[in-house]
Amino acid sequence: MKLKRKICLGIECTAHTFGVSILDFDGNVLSIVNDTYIPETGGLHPREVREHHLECFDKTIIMAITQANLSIKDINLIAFSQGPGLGPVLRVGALIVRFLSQKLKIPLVGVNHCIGHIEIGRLKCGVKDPLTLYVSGGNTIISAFESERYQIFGETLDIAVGNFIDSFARDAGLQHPGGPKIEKLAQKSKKYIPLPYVVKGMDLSFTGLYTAAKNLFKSKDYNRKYNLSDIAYSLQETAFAMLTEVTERALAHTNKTEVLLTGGVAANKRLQEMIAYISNEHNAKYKVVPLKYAGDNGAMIGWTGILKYKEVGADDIEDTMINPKWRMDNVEIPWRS
Amino acid sequence: MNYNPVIDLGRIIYKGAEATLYKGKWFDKEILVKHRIPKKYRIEELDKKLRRTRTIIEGKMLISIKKCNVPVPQVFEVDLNNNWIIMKYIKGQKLKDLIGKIDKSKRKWYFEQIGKYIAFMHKNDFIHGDLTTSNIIITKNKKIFFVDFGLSTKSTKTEDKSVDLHLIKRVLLSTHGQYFEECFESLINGYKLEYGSQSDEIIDRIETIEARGRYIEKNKRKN
Repeated sequence: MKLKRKICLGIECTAHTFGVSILDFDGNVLSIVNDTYIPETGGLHPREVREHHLECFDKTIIMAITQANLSIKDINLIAFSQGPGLGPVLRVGALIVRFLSQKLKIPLVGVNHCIGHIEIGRLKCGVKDPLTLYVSGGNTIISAFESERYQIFGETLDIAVGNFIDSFARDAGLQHPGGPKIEKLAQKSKKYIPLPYVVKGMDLSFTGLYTAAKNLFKSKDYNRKYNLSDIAYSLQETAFAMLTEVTERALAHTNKTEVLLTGGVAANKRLQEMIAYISNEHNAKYKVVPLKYAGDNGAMIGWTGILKYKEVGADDIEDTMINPKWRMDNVEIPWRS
Repeated sequence: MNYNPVIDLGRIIYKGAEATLYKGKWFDKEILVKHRIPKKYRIEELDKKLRRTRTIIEGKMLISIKKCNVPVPQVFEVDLNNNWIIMKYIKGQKLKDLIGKIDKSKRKWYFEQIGKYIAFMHKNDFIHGDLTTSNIIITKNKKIFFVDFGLSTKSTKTEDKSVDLHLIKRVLLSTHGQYFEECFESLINGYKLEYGSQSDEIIDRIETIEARGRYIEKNKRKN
């Protein structure tokens, strides 16, 4: 059987995940392979993440191609994450794809990582024009499509919500990634300890909350008046109520009829419950992106690359410089205008 | 909901993110009741605290801001049993819905006025905290009203005043991109006219706040 369909290789390389995916131009995902760096202690050190990705990239790419029952010659397009992300890590990704593109003469497109999250959600969840809450270790963004761009209606003013939860978990002696462990602990408690609730317009701040939670853990009342589960419960309730309030306000402001929840923190059941509740109240369709596509992965990069390539063609090699601080509202979206 | 003998709630006219608005009667006056409704997504303890504090803040702020000649609805009663604010009903349109329907000179005029009023508030150390085009109402005879003071604060800090301006700048950029330049320029003109030379520091600081944001590049975006 001869393959007529066009194939894209999507490579995600912005932070801890080196993700590769093979998909066709109609959006069918043929394979998805991730190799995620998990530090033994501490957080993500850009240099160590880079070393990890350099060691695993060839195996990961080969595995993705094999799982799709294809060979490297079947690939018609390479898409990669150009930013935002950790500089040294982005550089590794760009290096790999530039080499592949030039050696095999395959067109190359660079993609904004945050937009990838929204586009894969639109593809996989059957939503057309959602208000998106994108929550992960690196980003906390409320975004919707207006005036030909993915505009940012609200975002964190300091650290991302995932970063806050992971950092607290690490201080409390839990291993990275701490999010799922905090979620489990929180389910065991119903005791709320008041914590700072910081909302500025539609923007959020988590550093004060982080400090307060850390102080609770260090206080002499710890394990007397309350335990780790109680702190986990309180910090989740506070942080997620903030996120939900801001999302609800953005929903009322934009009048969108769909809500999309994505990013690594979207896996949290409590957050899902809260966002589903407000969507329902405003008669909006609510969708959470399945974890496979919500966390960092190659498919989201590949699919956004396909959309871009179909409209404006490939990038010149000079235009594939990485951009560690690339805001999503700086990107033009020709495929939606 | 607790019973309040003097108020006829009337009918719901708007369901917002935070509150439900009723158009009703208070003695023989037409009133608007802003009811901060319980939010079941968050735990009761947090919900009660947030609703109560915001109702108190909004009530207090509306009253004190009115005293310094900024047009806001007059407050008749704050009912903390129900988390109600009972205020004068203002008939008009949200600026958000009006902005595309009027011509350029009108838009400029409105935003210059808005700039002046924001300067009024800031000169008296009132920070709105949630300046958006949904929170400004325009009446039929072209009067401008500011509403939604639930996140407002009192502050003398340049930083807080700049954040206020930054918030409305951001809303103009994201929601009304095509009118951004003319609207924001007029707003700043009005602000400067009213505030005088002291406003320079506040306006300059907007850039500092933006640069502090996530993923900001040095070269500023154009549109």
